Amino acid sequence: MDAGVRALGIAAFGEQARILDEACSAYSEERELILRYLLSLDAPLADAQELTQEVFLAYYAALLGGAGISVRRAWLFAVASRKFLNWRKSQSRRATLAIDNDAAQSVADSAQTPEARLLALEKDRAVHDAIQSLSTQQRICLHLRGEGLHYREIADVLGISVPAVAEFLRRAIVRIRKVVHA
Amino acid sequence: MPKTDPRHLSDEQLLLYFDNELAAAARDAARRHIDGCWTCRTRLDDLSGAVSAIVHARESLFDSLDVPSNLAWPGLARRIAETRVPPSRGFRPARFRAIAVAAGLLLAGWIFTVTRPTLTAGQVLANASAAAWREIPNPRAVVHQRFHVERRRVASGRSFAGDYELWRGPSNTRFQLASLGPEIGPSLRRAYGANRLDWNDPLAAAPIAQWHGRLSSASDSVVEDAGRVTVTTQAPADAPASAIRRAELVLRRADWHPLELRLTLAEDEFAIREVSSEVVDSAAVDASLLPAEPIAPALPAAPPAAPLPALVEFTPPVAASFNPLATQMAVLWSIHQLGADLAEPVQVFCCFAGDVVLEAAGVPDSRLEQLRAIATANPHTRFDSDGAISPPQQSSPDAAPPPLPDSPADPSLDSRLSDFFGSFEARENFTRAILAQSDALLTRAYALRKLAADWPAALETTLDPASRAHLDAMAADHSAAAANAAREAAQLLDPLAAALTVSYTPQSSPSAEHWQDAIPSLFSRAREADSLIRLVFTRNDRPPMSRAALERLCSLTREMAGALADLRQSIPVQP
Repeated sequence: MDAGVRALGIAAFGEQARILDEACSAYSEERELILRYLLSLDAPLADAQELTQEVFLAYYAALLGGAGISVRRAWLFAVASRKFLNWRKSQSRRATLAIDNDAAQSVADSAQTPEARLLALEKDRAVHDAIQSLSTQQRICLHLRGEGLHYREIADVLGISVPAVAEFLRRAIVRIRKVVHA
Repeated sequence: MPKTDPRHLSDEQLLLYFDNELAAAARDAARRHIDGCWTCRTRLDDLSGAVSAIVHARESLFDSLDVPSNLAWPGLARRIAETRVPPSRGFRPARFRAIAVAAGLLLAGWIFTVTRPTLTAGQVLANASAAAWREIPNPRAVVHQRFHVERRRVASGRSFAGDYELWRGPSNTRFQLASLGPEIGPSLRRAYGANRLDWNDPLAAAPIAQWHGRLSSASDSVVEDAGRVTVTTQAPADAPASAIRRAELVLRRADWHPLELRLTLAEDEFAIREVSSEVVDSAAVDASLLPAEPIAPALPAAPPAAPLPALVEFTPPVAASFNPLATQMAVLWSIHQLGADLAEPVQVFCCFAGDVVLEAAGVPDSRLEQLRAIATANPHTRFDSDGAISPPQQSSPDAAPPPLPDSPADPSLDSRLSDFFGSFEARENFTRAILAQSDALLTRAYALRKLAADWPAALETTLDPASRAHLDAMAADHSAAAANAAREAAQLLDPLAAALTVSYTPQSSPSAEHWQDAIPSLFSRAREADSLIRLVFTRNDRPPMSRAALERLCSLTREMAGALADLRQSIPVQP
């Protein structure tokens, strides 16, 4: 924990100081993870940043309220998932995020030959489109797995069973596999 | 392939296998099947290809976004300040709002500025230790303090609270524990005992300074705010269960008076807060509270308090009727003259407002008598054998010795080593001789490390001249003996290095401002040398020797011989 976080600790008193320390520590350690996760769920950058803030504010408020949080990362992902779903409901249209041409080009530039560049560009676009076409649950499971969570942790985040997680992931990967090998 | 084809694994089974989510038996069965089944192996490769494509697409997406590396958005501080909690949880909105606003402001400061403490924790604790002497202006004065103690059990979250009072005189301490209750008193006493804090004076800075000095590594912060200085120390993560993980001492900046101590242990959190503190005449105190020693006869009024120490530079403490640190040092010096500070289970520690404790466990009767005589000869010194006062401290485990040099083995070295010795007896004698030097070096290195940890430079500056002289003399003795041992070891190795054409260049060590600063590096090198000696000369099952290991060993012994001799020269010793 850096000096700034400890500086926060003395602003409050006793238990509040400890909670503020913990909230800042969580923010420092997990914010990039949560932001990546929200971005992968196709939230635009500005909205993903806003939602990330809300996730950690919720964490701070929950600690202040005496909530018993046993697994911090799972709790943060669960709140991020709920906030993402609520945010999406509030959108008049579904925000889409695609690999823009410049970025795709820069990705493709790393390939060896013009043919390989074109293939890489097309493949990334196809996979990205395939991920976007998945159901919300499938996408959330896929991206949580992509962030390194195990099935049990994903089940805890989403409040579903482990076999349900496995089934969502299977369907998602089977669908993407078809795109990859098309 | 149909999902239900019984001859093959299903997609779900393959995915579970790929993600390592199968139970051990099912995983073994799946692996055996995949090993013998082209179809399933190919499907597994396809699955792996799909996952790779997903990972690549995700990374491409993140790369394409201009995500700021510092996600500290300006609005966050304001939003933290506005964060509310349900009032049913018992928070007072007004107080919480004030705390949250303050926290938000500080968070904003954290985001946009870099907080750099100007004082080290050791300096603040030394200041506070020195200032404590001024609290009792004359032998008739008694400090009367009231404390509020809170204990929170980490596992269950249950909290307990209680109050007690303390009367502290120049040579006597009494306190009342009854109101603390069984939920707090015993556990707090255990925590204090295990960490060598002074239960009789729970906010005393000197024992906390010594605890701080004993930590092998610590993360400190010092923050000054609203007339208070908060010293926070985070102990190493591998601290034993009974050890303090985190300590936070709040001091009044004006006079370095400790106001609150918050301790975090594995199972408990304690907060000891001073509710009131006053200096009263002993005549006004209930005599039953101070029965042990007669109060000194009436003396002239106490002189005006000495000026408070400066923030960084502080003056030696004013004379007091009893100086525990000086007594502790005198006891240590006597032990050193006996040679009992070399790998013997003898400890000396200081209870600031109480006594100096000389603790020994498992030593021979003759040594016990010598130690008892030392305790008797020094004022306010208690002798305890076999750990009767407090549970033996679980020192943090030493870090593992550094890894051995990683270089290709040279099998010819072993045969040349055998040729060099000529006979088994000669090799045995050499091994015994170099091990003896290594043991001597390590013993002195441990003694130096303990001295440096218990008496850091900041604390040394607060000692009276006699105590400083004793401390320096002990450090000089140990470093001279260690230098001799390192030089002997190097001289033993020289012919060997010449015969095996091992070339090395000893590195010189940078000079340290205080002798204490040089000890960790020397200790680490002594342990590394010992590990190498044991590997090269005592292990029959070791792999073939590498030239780098021998070069490192020869270099280490030469370096230490030089560095320890320099260290010895740098320590001023009075005749």
